[in-house]
Amino acid sequence: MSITSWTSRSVARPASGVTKVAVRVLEAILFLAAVFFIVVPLAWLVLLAFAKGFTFPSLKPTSFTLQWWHTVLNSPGLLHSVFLSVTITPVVVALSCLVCLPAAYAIGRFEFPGKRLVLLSIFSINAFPRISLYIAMIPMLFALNLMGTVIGVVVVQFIGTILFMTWIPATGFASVPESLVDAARDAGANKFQVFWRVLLPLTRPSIAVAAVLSFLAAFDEAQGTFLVGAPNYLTMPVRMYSLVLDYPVQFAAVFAVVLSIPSVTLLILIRKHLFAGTNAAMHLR
Amino acid sequence: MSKQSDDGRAVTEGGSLASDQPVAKRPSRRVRRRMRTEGKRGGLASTLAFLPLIFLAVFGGIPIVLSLLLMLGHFGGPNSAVAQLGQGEIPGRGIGTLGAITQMFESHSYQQNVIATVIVFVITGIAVLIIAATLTLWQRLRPSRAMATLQFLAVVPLFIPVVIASFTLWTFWGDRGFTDSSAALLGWSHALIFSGKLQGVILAEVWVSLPFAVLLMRAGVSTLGDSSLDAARDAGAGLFTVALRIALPQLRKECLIVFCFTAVGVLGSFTVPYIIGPSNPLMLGVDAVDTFSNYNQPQQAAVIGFTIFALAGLIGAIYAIGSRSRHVNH
Amino acid sequence: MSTVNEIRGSELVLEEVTKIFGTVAAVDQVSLRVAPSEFLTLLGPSGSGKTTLLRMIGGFLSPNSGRILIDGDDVVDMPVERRPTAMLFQQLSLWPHLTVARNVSFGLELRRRPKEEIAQKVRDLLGVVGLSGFEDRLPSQLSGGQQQRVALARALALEPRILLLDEPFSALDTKLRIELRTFVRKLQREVGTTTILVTHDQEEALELSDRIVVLRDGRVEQIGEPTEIYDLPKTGFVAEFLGSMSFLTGSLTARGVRLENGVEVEVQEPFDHVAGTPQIGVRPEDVLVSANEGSGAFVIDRITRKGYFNEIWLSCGGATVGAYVGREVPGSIHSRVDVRMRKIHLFTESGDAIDLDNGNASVAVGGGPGEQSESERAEVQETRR
Ligand SMILES: Nc1ncnc2c1ncn2[C@@H]1O[C@H](COP(=O)(O)OP(=O)(O)O)[C@@H](O)[C@H]1O
Ligand SMILES: [Mg+2]
Repeated sequence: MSITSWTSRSVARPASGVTKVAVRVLEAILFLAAVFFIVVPLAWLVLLAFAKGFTFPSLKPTSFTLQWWHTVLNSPGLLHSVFLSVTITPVVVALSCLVCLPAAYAIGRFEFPGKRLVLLSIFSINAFPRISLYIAMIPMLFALNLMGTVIGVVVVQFIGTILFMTWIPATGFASVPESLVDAARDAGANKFQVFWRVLLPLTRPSIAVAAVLSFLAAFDEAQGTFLVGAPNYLTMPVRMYSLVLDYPVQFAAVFAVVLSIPSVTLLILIRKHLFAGTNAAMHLR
Repeated sequence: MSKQSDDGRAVTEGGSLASDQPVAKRPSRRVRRRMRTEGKRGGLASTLAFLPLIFLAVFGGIPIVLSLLLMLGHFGGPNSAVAQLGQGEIPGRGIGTLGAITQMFESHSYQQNVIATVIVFVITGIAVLIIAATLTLWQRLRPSRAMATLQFLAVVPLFIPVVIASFTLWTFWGDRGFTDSSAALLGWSHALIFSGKLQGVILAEVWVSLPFAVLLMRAGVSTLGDSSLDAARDAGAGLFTVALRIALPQLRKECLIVFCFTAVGVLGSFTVPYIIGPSNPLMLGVDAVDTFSNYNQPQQAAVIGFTIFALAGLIGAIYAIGSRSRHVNH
Repeated sequence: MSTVNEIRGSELVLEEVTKIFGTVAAVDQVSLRVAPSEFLTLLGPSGSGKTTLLRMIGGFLSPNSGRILIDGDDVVDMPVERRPTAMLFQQLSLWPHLTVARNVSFGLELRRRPKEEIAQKVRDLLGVVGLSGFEDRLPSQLSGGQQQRVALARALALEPRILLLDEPFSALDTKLRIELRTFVRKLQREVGTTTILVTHDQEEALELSDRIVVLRDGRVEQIGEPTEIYDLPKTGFVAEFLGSMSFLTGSLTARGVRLENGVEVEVQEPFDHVAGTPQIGVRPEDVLVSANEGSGAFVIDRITRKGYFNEIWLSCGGATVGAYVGREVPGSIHSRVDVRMRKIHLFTESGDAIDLDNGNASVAVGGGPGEQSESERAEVQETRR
């Protein structure tokens, strides 16, 4: 046995041009599918927000109008929702940082009794389907008199950020090589300086990713907020529920576009760093 | 790791190379970790690590126990506030009653709801896994600008609030929506309406679940060594074979997480099926909220909650079985 | 221990192969011919385009222009998986999820060889690389050296007509590196596959190669047999990269070299006389140092212990010369010594060797340097060690 195996291969056939073309075609199909599946619906939403109406089955609006924008921007209830969302979300993210980052630091850098318990609880709470967790939470919130309060809303949204804010920065803290810390200690840095000047800067991408994901999770949270905050505290996403059902599609579309502005702005700001950040933060090995 | 003993030396055979270093005897993972953090218990920071735990206990753990009690018909203590408002309650004595559970599961429509939910999370989980793996592996093995853009597009939904996404897709796939109109223009009436159907729920769940899956797979794919992929092509493997036999097996953990994470997410979702889904069968998330808020039956809602927990446990079991393998993770 | 099958080595021809990254030509119009079963080394500093060239031969990159011929067939458009080449990578590249045996058999499985044949072949190859009994281990359970040997077995399993080695030994420690490369060379002779090694390690290149290609900034600086390149470096760059060389400015006299400060240094071997002031290169092993009772034109500036010999640095006026001496240093720091040279190399100011055969020197006197005998070469090598 032998050489013969190669003889057939050594004959240079021209590049399998067919394969190349097939790959290109497949790529194009995938690309178009993604555009249709993801981009076109969003474009459709924007179109709706400016459309006066449609005559089925035409996809071209009968005419364009800003009337829906007028209505939305002049309804006090809706503006109140905008205000609520814009104030509550940062509070939740800040609370999350405050509570979770020390834990992330400890989990990433130290061995301490009960570490497994902390990790296990964080993961298992997130393995519980959200909606049933909320359902379970309600009696407790009733008992604590937190139903229908801002604090209740903050708590519900905060629970959804714990995993991101602990796990991702912890991975970041853990991945800082011990030698860097040792070198800093050698150079005369005390524990606090090591943390502040070495660990924190190196972990910043992970923390940023965690903060972004937490922001999105909190801003987006509608199910629990609806259960806990209604009827006093209807954040933007919660308000959407009723708009979808009770108002003209175009009206809801305008509100949807407005509601997308904060997170889409965020996306545009971080688009360059998105993958680098998440690649570093989501390492499982 | 445990298989790694010093028997390596004994088996070494062969002339000129016999003097190779013996297999390094690496300490066990636990010992290594102890070496790394030798004597470092992190004092204050470690105490603070329990802070999230307090929140989780008060708003997660304890409520789950209370909810279990509620389901079994115990209406005392913190449950009393809810129980007073509730209707159709079946009280239990001693350990409790299974009355609420049997009541729910005997109902034909509830059985339908459970089955529909399972179908939706299984299909969504598999679809998301396949799409995310295809997109990320493709770009890893055959990088191109088009595929890079595609990956970026796949992450965009992360930045669109789920309510917006659901609403948008509802009008897009809906009656007289974009697809319906397009189909009608092509003389193909009512063929592409998915809103109000389980298909629509699956489409939208894939939409909202894809970004996280892509991010996670991408992180995993980026750890695959260039030379290990090159070596496979060198050995005669085409791109498809490299993806299937070399890359994917190394990404087993990521695949499992993507599937399970997506499945649990779908299982516990409310917004997507509430806006897009059919009213019959109902996805369990919607059913739970309906039962609680509209029918005012907290005990029955707790039964639904625990049905969802049980299904999540099933997914957890898939994860546990899948991750238990000969393959050593580094 | 059984041996692997003999493989017919292919002839490889590169014709003006060029690869451009952005604006940089990583490989610039490289042409060369590698004979069947030859062991050729691509030698050059980091960034000189060695890896890029090797990856084009393996099919991982395609050239911007030029042709790559294997046994006369242009393979530029042939995808990696169909080329009769196999590559051994610098990084450890075993597939972590497959056992040692499955790593070796992967390529054979893809070729749908019969099961027994595959099993036999895996056994043979693991025997050859000295890893019998390791079949069921995972790569993470092997040391670096063992992993690289499995990778070698894996590459050989493909029965490559051309074996491509990209600094495969550089991740290993010195002792293991020397062992493994000697082993590879021996194996290559037995098997007969054409082999191209990329390295920046001159010792490795000199020891293993039939011929060496010295690359610089993507271009071929010199091609030749190891001794030829060492003894007759075509450029100052080659001379400094293989072995070391000190450069002096001065003029040539009948007996030797007159330095700028007027000191004359005797040169023993005949050399070419050229007009003008060429660059004069001298290898440290060709510098003969003698203690002259504390007098002499050169001063010892620095002594570096190299174990079984010493390297000393001497100066005279503005000129600095390195020399290898035995364990006994003829003097100590700051002492004065006499210097003679066994042999010198002449370069133009732009660094090209002044080569009479090419006619770029104006005057010629004395015998050509090519007449150095084999025993002298051996001696040179001896001194270097
Ligand atoms: N993929 C690439 N993209 C851009 N530049 C590259 C790439 N690969 C190599 N280069 C550049 O080409 C030159 C040669 O690189 P390489 O072949 O790796 O050198 P060597 O192997 O000799 O160290 C270097 O300047 C390097 O920066
Ligand atoms: Mg290189």
